[in-house]
Amino acid sequence: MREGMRAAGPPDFSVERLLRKVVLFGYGFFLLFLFRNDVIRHFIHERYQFLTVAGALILIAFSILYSALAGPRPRKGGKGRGAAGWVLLSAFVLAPVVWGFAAPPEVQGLSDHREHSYTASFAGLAGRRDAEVLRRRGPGDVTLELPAADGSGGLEARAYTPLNLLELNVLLYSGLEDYLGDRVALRGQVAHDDDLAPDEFFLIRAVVTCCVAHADYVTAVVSAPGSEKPAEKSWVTVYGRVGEHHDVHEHGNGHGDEHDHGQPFVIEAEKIEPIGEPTDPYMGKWNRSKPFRF
Amino acid sequence: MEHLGDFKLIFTDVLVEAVPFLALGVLVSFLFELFLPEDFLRRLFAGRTAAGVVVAAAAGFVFPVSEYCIVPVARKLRERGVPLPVALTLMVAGPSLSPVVVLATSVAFPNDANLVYLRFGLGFPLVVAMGLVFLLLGRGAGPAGGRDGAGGPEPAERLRAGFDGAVEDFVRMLGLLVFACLVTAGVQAFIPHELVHKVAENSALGVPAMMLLAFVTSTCSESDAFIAAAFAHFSHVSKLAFLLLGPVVDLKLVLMHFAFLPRRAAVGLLVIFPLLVVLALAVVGKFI
Repeated sequence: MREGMRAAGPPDFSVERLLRKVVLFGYGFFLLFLFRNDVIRHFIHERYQFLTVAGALILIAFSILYSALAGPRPRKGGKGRGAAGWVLLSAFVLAPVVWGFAAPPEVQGLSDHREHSYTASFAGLAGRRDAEVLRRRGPGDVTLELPAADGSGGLEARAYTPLNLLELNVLLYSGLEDYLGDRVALRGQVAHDDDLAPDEFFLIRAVVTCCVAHADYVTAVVSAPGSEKPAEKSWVTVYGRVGEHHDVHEHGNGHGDEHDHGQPFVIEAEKIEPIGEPTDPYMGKWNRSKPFRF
Repeated sequence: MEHLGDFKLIFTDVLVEAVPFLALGVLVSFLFELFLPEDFLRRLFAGRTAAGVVVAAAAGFVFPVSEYCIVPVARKLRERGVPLPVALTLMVAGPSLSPVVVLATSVAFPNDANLVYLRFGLGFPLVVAMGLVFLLLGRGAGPAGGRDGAGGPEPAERLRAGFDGAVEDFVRMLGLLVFACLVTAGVQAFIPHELVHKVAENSALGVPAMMLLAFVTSTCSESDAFIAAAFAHFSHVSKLAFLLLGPVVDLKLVLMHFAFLPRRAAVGLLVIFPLLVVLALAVVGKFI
């Protein structure tokens, strides 16, 4: 046999090698497991999910190859790690995978609404701004029969244009005066805030730019005088008119961005309807040609 | 209890995001082991370390690599004879200057092209400067760890050893990553955001405050621009500090640097790069 060549034979067995195989396969399989019920969308933006698949396949391929190749001689000068060390390390890295399978992650919102903020940075995510969307009557418009505004006791038909909160902010920050009085239908989660008037609340949606851990929020102040404020964190559809928010605290920096409490518009609610929590509470789209999710 | 739910969510999210990149990085470093002639890089960079630093920095604009992917690659390059300043520059340039980061920043600041230009216009010279500082300090300017071409192990043995090494590296880095994700998720889930933002917002020293925020939040470089954009009432200089530091030095990365780089290099990176950022912004800030 030539010097330096290892004799052919079955791969070496050791606890460390077995655990490394388990780690590789466990993580690879777990990454694919997240595509079950589309839970992956909650963690990784759609644009990057192919990387998750690639990573999973690499890890599974590694674990198969690792099983096929015989173990090498000990590395020269390498820092050896005893068997006990590898067992501990492997147990540590496997723990999240075991936890993930035992209590699979589900799509859920973050409990802490963090900063409520809209900035011009989100305009890029909303895509092209359709300045006429509130002027046109479209097939998506919702028509409600509501008590007439003149107090006559009759009903009048009102048409509301469904928009998502990101589109709304982009439109209204571009020129509020153009849209005062227009009727919109919005969906979102309710957030109470002591800095708002007693009959006001925030309607919020979380926006994912790359992953849920770094989600941020877009908001609208909703005014609902004469009706009970919906419960904190409940999901509602608000049908209302665009109005001017008079209690404005500007923190502008000269770049046209305003902090949340400086929101210059308010949605004067005409009807608030509780709805179920959506299957995915997050918004996020990079493809500018597709309409945004309502 | 609900913060525990957030903890699990953020921990899983960050881990799931990072693991594929880690796997890719280990795969690339294994391919280097397989296909790159042993002394090729050592001969290539002999006497050309300074030029190598500039080329490595420029490579950051071309390759869309994440910070988790590039650490094992840089380590492997170092083993193959690439001088430390060049390997470090490549490691830093990828996450700072990648095309994905350019795109994300331009989307996050649609009305602020200057900030986009500044991020990359400053980022490139900063990365080069960091590599040159390491070169001047004599931190492994010459190749180290490169193996001699003659008398090495047989190819089959090299394949097995390389593969075993790659798997071992992956599991070790994964251990560090899991630990770092635990810390990051804990900070984000259990420390009130109002407290973090109060420190950042009320501090008279906007630049150090935003740098601290970048370090603590450990945001990935594809999304840090959106986080920075949310701090609407911060100056451009402060936002730049956040954007320039985050891809290079944060809680997660520091742990990996200390595990996989020579200790003096990891300490140097932790100290030198933030200093360079502060110096650069002190000069440029007068004109913004």
